[in-house]
Amino acid sequence: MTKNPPKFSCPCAVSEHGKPETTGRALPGNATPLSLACGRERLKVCRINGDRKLCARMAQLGVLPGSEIEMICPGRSKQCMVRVMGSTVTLDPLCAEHILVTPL
Amino acid sequence: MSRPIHVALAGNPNAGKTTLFNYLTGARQHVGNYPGVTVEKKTGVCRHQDTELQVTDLPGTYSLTAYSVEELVARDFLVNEKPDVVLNIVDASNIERNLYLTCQFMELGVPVVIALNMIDVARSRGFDIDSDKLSSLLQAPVVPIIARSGQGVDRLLDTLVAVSRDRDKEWHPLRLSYGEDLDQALEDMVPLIEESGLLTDTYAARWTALKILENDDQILDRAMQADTALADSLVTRTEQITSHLQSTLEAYPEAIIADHRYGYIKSILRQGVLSQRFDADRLYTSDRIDKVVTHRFLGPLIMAAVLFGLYSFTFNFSTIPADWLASLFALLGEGVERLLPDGPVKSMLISGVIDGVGGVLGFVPIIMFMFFGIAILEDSGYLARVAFMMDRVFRTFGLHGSSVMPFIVSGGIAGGCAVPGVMATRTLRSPKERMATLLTVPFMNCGAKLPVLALLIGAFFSAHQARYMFLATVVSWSVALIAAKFLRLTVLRGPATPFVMELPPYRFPTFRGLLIHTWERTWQYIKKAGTVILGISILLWAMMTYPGLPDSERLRFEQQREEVRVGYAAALGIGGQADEKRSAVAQEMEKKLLAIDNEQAETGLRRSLAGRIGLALEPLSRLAGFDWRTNIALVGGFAAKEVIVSTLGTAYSLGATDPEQPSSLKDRLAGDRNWNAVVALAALAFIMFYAPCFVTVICIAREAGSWKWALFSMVFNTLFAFMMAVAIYQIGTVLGMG
Repeated sequence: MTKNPPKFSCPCAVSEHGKPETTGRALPGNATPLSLACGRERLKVCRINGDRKLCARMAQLGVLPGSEIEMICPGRSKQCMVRVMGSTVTLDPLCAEHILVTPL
Repeated sequence: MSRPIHVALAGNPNAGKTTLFNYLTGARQHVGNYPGVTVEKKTGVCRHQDTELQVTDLPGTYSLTAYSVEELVARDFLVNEKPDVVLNIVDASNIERNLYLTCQFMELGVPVVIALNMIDVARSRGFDIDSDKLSSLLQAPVVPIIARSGQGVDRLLDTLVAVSRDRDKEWHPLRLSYGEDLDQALEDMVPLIEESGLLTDTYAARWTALKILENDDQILDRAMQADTALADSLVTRTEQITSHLQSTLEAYPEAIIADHRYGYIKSILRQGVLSQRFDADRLYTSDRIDKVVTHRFLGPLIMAAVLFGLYSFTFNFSTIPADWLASLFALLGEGVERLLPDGPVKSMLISGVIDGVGGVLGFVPIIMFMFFGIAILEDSGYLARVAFMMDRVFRTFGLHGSSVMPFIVSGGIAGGCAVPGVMATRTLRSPKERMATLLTVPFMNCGAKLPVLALLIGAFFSAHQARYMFLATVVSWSVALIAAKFLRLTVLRGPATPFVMELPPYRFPTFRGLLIHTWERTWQYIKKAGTVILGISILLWAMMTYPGLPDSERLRFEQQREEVRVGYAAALGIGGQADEKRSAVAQEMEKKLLAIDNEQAETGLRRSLAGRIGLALEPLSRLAGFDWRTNIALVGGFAAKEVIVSTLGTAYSLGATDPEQPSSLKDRLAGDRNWNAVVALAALAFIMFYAPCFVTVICIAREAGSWKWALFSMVFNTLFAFMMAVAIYQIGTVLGMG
């Protein structure tokens, strides 16, 4: 089926967007769940907890450790609206409380 | 002419797929359902130069991993139907996210042509995209377009034709690196899959291995079914690597894979493909609007005002064409009355077809205006904000954010259909949240209930039509949510699951798009009236006509007529009387004859099969103020809710009315002694909440996997609706509101 497949290796993926960002064992002291972030405009994702499906769904949307998100409507323990990779995404409290962020 | 080219139109939700599809296929499109799935696909034909392109619009997806039904549908179509080319619509203003799906098409190996849509929006946001460079780095054609205006579409079609002609039949998957650990795991797994031929007739071995690493449920199930021993060993290998990644990177394989895909995309964009001219930090107009429109306190007020505005627009502008249509059907009935001799054919045409189907078709203007208004809300992106705001409320009542769309599809703003609404519940992953949604979506005011509501509101509350329609919507949502809470606290108790949704940016709808949406839905309504409703109307007419009166009864009425004629013959025959006096006497005689005709018609209806059913239910239904004729319509409504209008039309044309002076059903009901405002309110409540139509019931049984829930839906809804109707009628009567 495969004929001369083009092979890409992506240095960016490994060195810049890969391991260093996801090895976040020690959380910054000011990390808070996204559900509690209020009024902070730009945030950095430092960890995603929760079950495997949720982590996968978040990763698919580009909400990965190291990525930046912008708060549009803070949830204050309710659902919130954020901008991720140019798209506006709504997250309910169950999702938002699993995303730990720090202010940028 | 050359052979047709099969094109699969795919992309993220809100990337402009439907706009491009409508532009390409225009009015020739038709809507069809994939068997067994909720998500709708559209197919259409487009001709370019001498080539026919058969375009399939796949559901919008973010990935090709089985996280949602939409993704499964898109993926299954690609691997099973093997289209000649995938036309991947990429939103240029949101290129990084959109290329994530492109990347997966390329990993699958399917030939891709990229339509870089909304290039104008991207420019307005300060993005410059070098499409030639992107094309050369991705090794796939990239054509910038603006689907709304059709700019660049000709070049896109040229490219599609060229790619489908030139390419060979082999798929060439892209090989990405996912990091040392996962690459090693893939190297271990791929030879095993190739050796055993596990699913290799459908998927490339590396792709299957990748999906197993990504914990893809569908691929895992298929692998288990095909070769349990091998699948077990692959799963064991996956568990090893998952455990290793969890301990070292605190991440699952799918997150690492997604990270590397985004890394690959970033590496391409940073090679001079994407540049930004001005401040990247500013809020877009959509975000600014959202800060107000979805505000915690302002948002619901704006939403209420928008819905009320929609109903005012519908009723204010549709009244005149609706009256014209009603007059047209009345004239048609009058014409048939004059042209045809008395007999069953004439009765069927007037009472079964014209009064029945005409009654339903008479609401086409209202339906059309309502759909036009809904299309504006949908195409502008506001409907998604309604879903966002309703999610807050839904969570309180034990439902999921994904329940909002099934509610809206079922007629949350009035005018939907419970069948696709029930099927749309497949997007819910939690079985209990799904079941609670499944059982409560039929409470919405679907398009079939709309003419019934419009009829009763128009007949008894004509001064405040928009207000009553708005009230009906609020009540339907309230009842559905309370019922859902009741179910979630009792038989469907369970934890809540997370909800994520992407909101489309606000856009000005195109007039062409609005007209297409409006016509598509209105045509469905007209088609249903001309086929299913026509058939049911004729059947119900037969049930309301036969077995008919026995000869002795008919003779008795004939004798009464004869007695009247003889009694007046002397008065009419006396010479020398003034013409005026003679005319008055003739009128009096006609009145008496008409009374006998009406009595005969009503006796015939009472003795008919349907009449007997209606009469048998009357002792019970009287508690809610419904007479036997209304009972016939309500029983008929189980077949399809529009039938309530057509059956009332037939029942009230067979009964006490003057065929010489045809009037609309609305006027007949308003003038009937068995109807008043309280009865109308009780009937509105009953019709809104009683058993769903039989197609919905079948659909519930299929989706729930058991007839038990379908039966529950029928019995629970009917009992609840009846109790509500009885309460309204009894309280209203005691208060003297009737």
